[in-house]
Amino acid sequence: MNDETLMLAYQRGDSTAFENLYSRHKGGIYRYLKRQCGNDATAEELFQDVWLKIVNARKNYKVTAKFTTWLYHIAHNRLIDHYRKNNRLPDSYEDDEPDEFEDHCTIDPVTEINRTRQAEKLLDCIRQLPEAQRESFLLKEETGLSLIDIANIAGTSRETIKSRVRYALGALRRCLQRLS
Amino acid sequence: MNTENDQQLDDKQLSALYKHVQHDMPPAHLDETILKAAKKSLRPRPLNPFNHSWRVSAALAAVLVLSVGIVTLMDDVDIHPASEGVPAFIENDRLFDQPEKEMTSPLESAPATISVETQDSDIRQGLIAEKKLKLKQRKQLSKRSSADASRRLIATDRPNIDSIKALRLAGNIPLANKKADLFVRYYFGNELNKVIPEQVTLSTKDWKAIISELKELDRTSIAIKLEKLLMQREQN
Repeated sequence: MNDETLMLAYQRGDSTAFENLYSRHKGGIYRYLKRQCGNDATAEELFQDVWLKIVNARKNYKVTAKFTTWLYHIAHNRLIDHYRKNNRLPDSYEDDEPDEFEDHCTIDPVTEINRTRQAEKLLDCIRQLPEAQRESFLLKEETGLSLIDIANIAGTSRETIKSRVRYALGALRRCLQRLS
Repeated sequence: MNTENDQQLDDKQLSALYKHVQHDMPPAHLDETILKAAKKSLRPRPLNPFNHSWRVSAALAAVLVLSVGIVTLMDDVDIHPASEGVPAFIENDRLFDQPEKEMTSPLESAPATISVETQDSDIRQGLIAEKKLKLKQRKQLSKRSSADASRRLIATDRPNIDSIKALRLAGNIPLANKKADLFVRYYFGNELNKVIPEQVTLSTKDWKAIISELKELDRTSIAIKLEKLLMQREQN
């Protein structure tokens, strides 16, 4: 059963449908918020807000887009509200077209033994990315959505997201190479 | 085309590496809170009768109290004699049934003879005065406890000739007599042989009206004393 059908079932009063939806998406949303905030307590607060918004929107839910897009769009907006509340909307969100860069870096093939260590390094590198690029990378990896869907979530153009993802990938590769 | 370009952005190595750190999950207490909220929102909200009906009840009570208040006030403010419950013919009968001896008494031959028109006007004024007095007394009563207020009312009750007339017209003779006695005591004291300040404010017309009333009430001796007092005052 797809997400939209589950949400409609929940709208009709099926609590199990919501449990399934929650189970499918709780990890992705939580990681997205946690890595964007860099703070567990704030991430948990935002996470709870996002899901309660979904619960409260039950009665008026209509299938106009993918459930995932809708869910992450709510999460993105909640995150932006959080930034604004703290007077620190990152500059990277204003920069729609990041500078292009030459990227010739490649990551050395990693063996299974040091994969975990490399993954931890990757998390450090992700933390160092500007918020907007980090968000684009996380949305791409966590949702598996297309660039246009990610653009819809972030409320920007597809080209901007494309630039942000490209920038993020290049920065991560260089960062991993540097740390290796 | 777009898909081809998008694929250029796929870095399988990075994606594979990222999958190794996709194990972070929200804490269990958050799961519990959210799932509980989701289930709770499905429950039909119990109608809180107090939530709705108390407003309706309060509004009805307010309307009722207001209506009673307005009706009471209108009843008190209505100054038309007919609305008092005294039939008009009684009023007229009273006017034309004045004893002849009263009309021929020495006092009545004085310049301030009370004509029928004047009496009618006096009766109306008396009713108005009586109504205003009642209204004032009720307001005072509402502010104090009823027992205490009643005591104060008796102590501060300042009878006037118009209210006595009104009471008589309404057929409340015992109260009219009682007020007449109070009136005499108020203005002339118990012995009627010394001038008290209130007498100064009393007009000749009022004096004569009081005397007339007293005669009607079979208080002839007092009436004669008052006549003497009036003559003394006029001479002075």
